[in-house]
Amino acid sequence: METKIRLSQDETMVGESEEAGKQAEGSEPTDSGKQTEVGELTEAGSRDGVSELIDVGSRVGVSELTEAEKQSGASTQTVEGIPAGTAKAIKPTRPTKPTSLWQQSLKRLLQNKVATFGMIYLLFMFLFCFIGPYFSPYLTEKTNVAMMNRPPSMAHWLGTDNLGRDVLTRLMLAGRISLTVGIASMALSVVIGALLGAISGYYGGLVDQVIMRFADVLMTIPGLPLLIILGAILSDLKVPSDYRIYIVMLMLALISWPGLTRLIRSQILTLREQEFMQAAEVLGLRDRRKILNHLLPNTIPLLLVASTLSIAGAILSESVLSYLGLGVVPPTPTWGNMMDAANSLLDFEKRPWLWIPPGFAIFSTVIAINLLGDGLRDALDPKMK
Amino acid sequence: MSNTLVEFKHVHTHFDTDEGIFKAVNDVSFRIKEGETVGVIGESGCGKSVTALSLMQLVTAPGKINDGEIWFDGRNLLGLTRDQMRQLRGHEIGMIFQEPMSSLNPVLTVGEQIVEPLQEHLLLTKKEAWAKAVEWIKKVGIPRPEKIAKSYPHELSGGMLQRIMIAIALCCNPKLLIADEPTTALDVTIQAQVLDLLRQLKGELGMAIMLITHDLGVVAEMADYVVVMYAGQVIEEAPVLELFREPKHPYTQGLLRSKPVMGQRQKRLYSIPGQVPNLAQLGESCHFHERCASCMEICRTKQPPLRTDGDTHKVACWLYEEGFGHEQA
Amino acid sequence: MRQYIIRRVLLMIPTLLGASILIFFVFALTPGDFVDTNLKLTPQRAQELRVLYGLDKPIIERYFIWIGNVLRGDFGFSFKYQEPVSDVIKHYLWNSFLIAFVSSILTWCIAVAVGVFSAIKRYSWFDTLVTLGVFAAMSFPSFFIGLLLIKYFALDWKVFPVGGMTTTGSELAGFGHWVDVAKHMFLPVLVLTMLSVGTLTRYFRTNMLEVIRQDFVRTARAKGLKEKVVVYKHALRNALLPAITLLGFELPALFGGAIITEKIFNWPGIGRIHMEALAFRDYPLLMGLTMLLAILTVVGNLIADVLYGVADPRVRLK
Repeated sequence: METKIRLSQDETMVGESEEAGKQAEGSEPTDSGKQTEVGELTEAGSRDGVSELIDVGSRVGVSELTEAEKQSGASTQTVEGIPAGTAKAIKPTRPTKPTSLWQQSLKRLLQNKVATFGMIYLLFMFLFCFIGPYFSPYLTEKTNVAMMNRPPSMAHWLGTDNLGRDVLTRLMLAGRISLTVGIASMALSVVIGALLGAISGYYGGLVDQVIMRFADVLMTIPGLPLLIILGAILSDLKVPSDYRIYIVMLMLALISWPGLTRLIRSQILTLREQEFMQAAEVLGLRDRRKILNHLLPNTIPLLLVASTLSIAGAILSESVLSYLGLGVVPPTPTWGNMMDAANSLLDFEKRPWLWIPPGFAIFSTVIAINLLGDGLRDALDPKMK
Repeated sequence: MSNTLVEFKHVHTHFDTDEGIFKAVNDVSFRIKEGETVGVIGESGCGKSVTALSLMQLVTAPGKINDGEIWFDGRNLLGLTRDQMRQLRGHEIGMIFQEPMSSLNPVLTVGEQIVEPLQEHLLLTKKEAWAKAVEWIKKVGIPRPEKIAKSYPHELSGGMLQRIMIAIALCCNPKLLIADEPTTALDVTIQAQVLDLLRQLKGELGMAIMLITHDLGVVAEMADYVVVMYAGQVIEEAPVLELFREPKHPYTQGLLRSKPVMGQRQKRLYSIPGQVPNLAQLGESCHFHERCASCMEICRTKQPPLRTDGDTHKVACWLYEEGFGHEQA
Repeated sequence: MRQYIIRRVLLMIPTLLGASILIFFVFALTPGDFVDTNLKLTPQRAQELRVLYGLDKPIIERYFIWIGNVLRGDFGFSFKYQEPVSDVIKHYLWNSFLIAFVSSILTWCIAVAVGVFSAIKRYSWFDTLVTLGVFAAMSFPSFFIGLLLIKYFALDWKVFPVGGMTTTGSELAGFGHWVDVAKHMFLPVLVLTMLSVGTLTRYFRTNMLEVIRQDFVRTARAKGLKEKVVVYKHALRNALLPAITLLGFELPALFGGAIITEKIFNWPGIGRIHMEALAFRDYPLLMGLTMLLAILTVVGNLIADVLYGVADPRVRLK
């Protein structure tokens, strides 16, 4: 029966070392004082030292592995490696070392042509918006009555608007705002969502109830109507254009954190039950450390995907709001409020260069983000491979 | 001697993944005779299950049968069309799996699931098929069959579900039953019951059984003939008594030594050192050489062929090759 | 099952109360109600109106008056339409429901068919094409795609009407009327479908990929069933089940998402009056509409969960 016992052990071993591995990875960037702890934890987690970890994780060459084994001697005997041949085991395992985790993911991501294209496009978009204007002769934003509403030409590639400004330059400047708003509101909602989700999932009980019921309430009102109402209030409060950007960011974060909180909470609930957390428990770590160093780092892949996609959502929402005149308002240009031109029938019918380019900019940026996000999900979530 | 029912001839099933080509089944040849129970043993990941799935042609991507022939009842299965192969599955070859809990569709009643192959292969009407399904539930030893037929998998225990799986696999009177670790996921007492049931049904129906397991006890109890696999290859095969009496390959010897023997007390149970090699990085060497106590120079550079040693015993080890081997002490 | 439903209904109450508090205070704290914005009023008249609409009372009291009325089905009186809010909503709700319903059906049919097919043919050119198309559909800002369609289909090529629900001044009745409505519906339904089909298709593809790897699918194949039976009877059923819960989000999300589409296509539904009420600062109507969306969301979720319980034998018995 020994064979059998060992085989079942084999499976638990893989699981444990994986967890410990992830943990080690998560804690890597912390200062040296914490390093010792990580070492201990790893020990506690896998019970069989680092050699198995390396094996399960990054599959370094066999020769290296056997070396390690010889050193650790008899203790490794009961552990067998991953049953590499079965279909089950062919799913890529999670690597241990931080470099190899990210390297592997990056490699997988780069193999995905569509996602790579999305990434390159986004890079291009950023350069276009943030560096591009410096190459434009029309950066001064001066109105030019003589050059009003001109169609695209050699001098103005995308024509001019009703104040005689160059549409291409405005498109770049607007992109700066739209991208910034999207990223900033994502960052805000990720911070709120991750913290509240972690606290809620870790502590449970009353704290969990309060946070989750509040999230429920916010989620009962569909996002767009809520945004529109908040936008209208913003208009009534007559907030100056400069400040509105920040308030719009806050608004977008406000509607997107509940979803993220739920996501992180459910992930934390699963993680909390796993062996490496019991090990952390045994070590008597503080809650704050357990949450920040051991639980949250394990949700990074999930967070990365969710936040990428949430940038896309934020850019879309911002554009709708600004298009309706309820988000960022002129003179600050965004892609959304540039499309306001389409609200005038004459511009809409006869001057498509005023509203099609910003619309296309929104569309293409969002699709690039979505493709990248999907690629990231594939690359970071080996389960779906 | 009865006729050969199944013959694997140099079958290669490989999984082409990002991390390399996993040679899960690497040049496997053996036979199963009519009405015989062949036990295929080996550690997890040695290619036992993939061998069985190759026979069923249910290897999922990225796995692919790259080379070889699989003969079943006078036909080369790899030469059949997909539809011909489909008609063979569940009809002439039945299969049961390791996890009865997840092997049944959770949203269909067990009755409906037994009815399916009956309608598909025996062309019974719905009513006849249902009656037959109820009959089969009774046959596999479940009381109140009418009621059980209408229940969903989650309402039944693992043992009962495995019995249902057996009913599904055998209801069309197959010539071969593939049992892929049929008792691994079950409690020990239930294991014995399921094995008893299999033996009893084999007595009634006379089908051959390809029994895949890593449990030597199960093999000793059930099998007539044993095939030992290691790292995607057959390393030893022999009638069951002979194999247990005189294992030849160091790996098989290790397996047998690591099994506790009744009445014999040992300080520490033997275990084979090391681990199964990565199937994507197999070299030209004997795949077992890193873990082998009697490893010789040639083992590191060349693979031993599977040769007949004695009457019915086959082994792939340089120890038994003339000119290389020195008889073991 | 009954206990489960009762518990769920009880859980709904605090959520809806929370939503009502949120909605009420968001509006109540807004500076500038319709009395303020109407500059023609004399201070005296304004004060009279405030008393008339109860705007002079303390805010907490106003909340309790409002929620009390809401519980009795009285959402207040619309300033703009000079009608009870519930009447206004009733009047426009069905128009919204019409396009929401048609586009839901279209979305689900397309999403199931395409999602399942691209899961089976994973990594084929069809799958890649569908993936790209799906992401494109997901990434269009609703107003931009709406405007593009209007520009090309309505203004340039004149295939479909620009907006509205019927041709102005048309006296058509019966079949002719419906053809007219159908023509007007086409573009808004197309936009709504495009916007929601992406997420759902992705969802089905992922679900299907998940299910197709399950052991019971292998069992079905090992039984020698036809591939069609394996996919549609065994796999699809299991993949569809969890999607039922999405139905709950579907309706309110469609109404919410239709706001922009209805505005752009001038479709006389609650989305359009939402925008009009907003422009007019018609708070009772806005509050009523928002509350309606919240109720729809909560009730939709409840119905979806119950349906799921009925459809999945594993949940059914508990």
